[in-house]
Amino acid sequence: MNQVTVAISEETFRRLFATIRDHFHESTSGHSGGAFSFSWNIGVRLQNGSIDLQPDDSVRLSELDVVYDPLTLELGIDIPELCIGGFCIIPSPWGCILRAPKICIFSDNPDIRLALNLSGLLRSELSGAFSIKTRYRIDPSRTAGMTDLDAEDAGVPNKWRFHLDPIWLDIDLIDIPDTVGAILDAAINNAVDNLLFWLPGWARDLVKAILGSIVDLIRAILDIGDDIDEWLSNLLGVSIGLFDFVSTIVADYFANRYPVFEFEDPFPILGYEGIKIPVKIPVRNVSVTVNDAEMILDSDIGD
Amino acid sequence: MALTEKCSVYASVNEEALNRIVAHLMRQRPSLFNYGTQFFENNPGLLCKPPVVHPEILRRHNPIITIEDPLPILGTDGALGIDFCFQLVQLKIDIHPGRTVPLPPELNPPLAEQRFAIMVEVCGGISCPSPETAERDGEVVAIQVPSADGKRGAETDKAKPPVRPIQGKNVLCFCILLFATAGFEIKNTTGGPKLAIKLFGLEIRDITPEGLENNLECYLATTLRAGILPKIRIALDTIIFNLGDFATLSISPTPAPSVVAHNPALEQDEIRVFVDVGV
Repeated sequence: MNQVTVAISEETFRRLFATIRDHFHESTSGHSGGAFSFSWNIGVRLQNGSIDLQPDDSVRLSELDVVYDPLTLELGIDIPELCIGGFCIIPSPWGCILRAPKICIFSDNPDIRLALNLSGLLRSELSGAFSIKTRYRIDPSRTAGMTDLDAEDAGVPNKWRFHLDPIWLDIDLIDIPDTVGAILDAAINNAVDNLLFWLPGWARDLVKAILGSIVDLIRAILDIGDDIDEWLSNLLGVSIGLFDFVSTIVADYFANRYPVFEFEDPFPILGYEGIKIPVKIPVRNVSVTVNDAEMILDSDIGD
Repeated sequence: MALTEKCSVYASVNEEALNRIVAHLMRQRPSLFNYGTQFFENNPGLLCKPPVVHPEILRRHNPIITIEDPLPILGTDGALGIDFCFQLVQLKIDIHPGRTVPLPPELNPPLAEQRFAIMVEVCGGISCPSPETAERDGEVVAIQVPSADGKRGAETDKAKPPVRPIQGKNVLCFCILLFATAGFEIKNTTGGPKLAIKLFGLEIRDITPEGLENNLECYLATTLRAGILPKIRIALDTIIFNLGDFATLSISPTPAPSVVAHNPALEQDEIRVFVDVGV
């Protein structure tokens, strides 16, 4: 029979979860090169969702929204160089006497940079199931010669910690608003105008007429097709690996970095009183079980 | 029925764990259980039962005993005293229903509901001076004849000197078993709600005459109520876990008897505490 039992209600558990969720914020940035390059700066925070204790000793997380804010992407497109003119107007047996002026465009790499600011527009939904893992943590800063009291004084006491350990985790990109297509088209037009800024307006129109719909062209280069949702999801999920990142950091956040609960071992029941040392009680044989009403922690008191 | 059906957090500690906690308390805060004069602080080996203390007590030079003035010798106007020591040596707790502490008839066994029984061995002793030393020191004090205003010679304008213990020859020790019944209560203090012990009854076994026993019991009960128990209150929030760096928990006991029948409850060999938590 366990000597000490502590039970935490599901309602308390939910409130603790909400507190942890509301303090979550992680970010990532990166760059990928090639003919179609992209760089990203993405911040992630959490909203909504619920957590329920299950009768099978697990904790169920449902419909937790992952909000991407900021979410800025810069796409770089390298278009094959296109030259106009340069043909010979007055040929001669000794070569061309007069040539038409030659104008080349798309000579840079990348030629077009699309800056997409989708901050706050996209969100994912995360669901999963967790077991509660008990871990005994010895702070790495604790040196071998430290007593338990030395460790407490140095702020590195041993701790019993309780983490949500993922059994499974599922993430879906949802709710890409229609405005994302318009934002993309506007970004493409702006990029082309920037690219041809040195041409007078009539010349830009001429180039655009020669190339046909520049937006369609770039969409084709980017392989966007008709379904921007699929394209963006593929870009974020596959090319950038965003969903793996989110799954990993969320799992890591709950599973490793932030325990649901923790307490010191030995556990102080009376603090310092002048020079008198705190009274600390060793806690042993700690275990956790979950049912649909509460989380129950059992332990013994050591000698 | 869920343990937390009527509260946010439920905590129970059984009497075996409680007795281990008391043992840790005695080793790590020995000055709560051992009292005596400076003589015994300087010579802890002469205590009736030398306390077993945690190594940190020695390493951090913590006091093993709480130092008290010598027992005054009557007739010396507080000038002379006798060194003494007083110790709570072994302490055992038995929560309702009582099984392991045999309560004496004076405490009306069986143990009442919502109570716990305490059995503690109390040891004490005085450092008894030889007759020659007592006579010599008595002579010295006697010649300092009090003046008309009750002050002695050169000391008339000085503060009263501390009691000087007469050097003892040997320590005369006794040990008795003391029984008590008590309960827990939650006291609201400036430091938040704290779990405190409330003493109900106390009995010393086999002391005669009865008047002496009653006086001793009164003294010991008063010592516990006024001197020792107020120092071993445990803050309720010590049983609540930390939430990392970012959550502040507000703790309050679940109201009794409106929400739970007793808080804390003492039943089935356990102390049970019900707490409401705000995040």
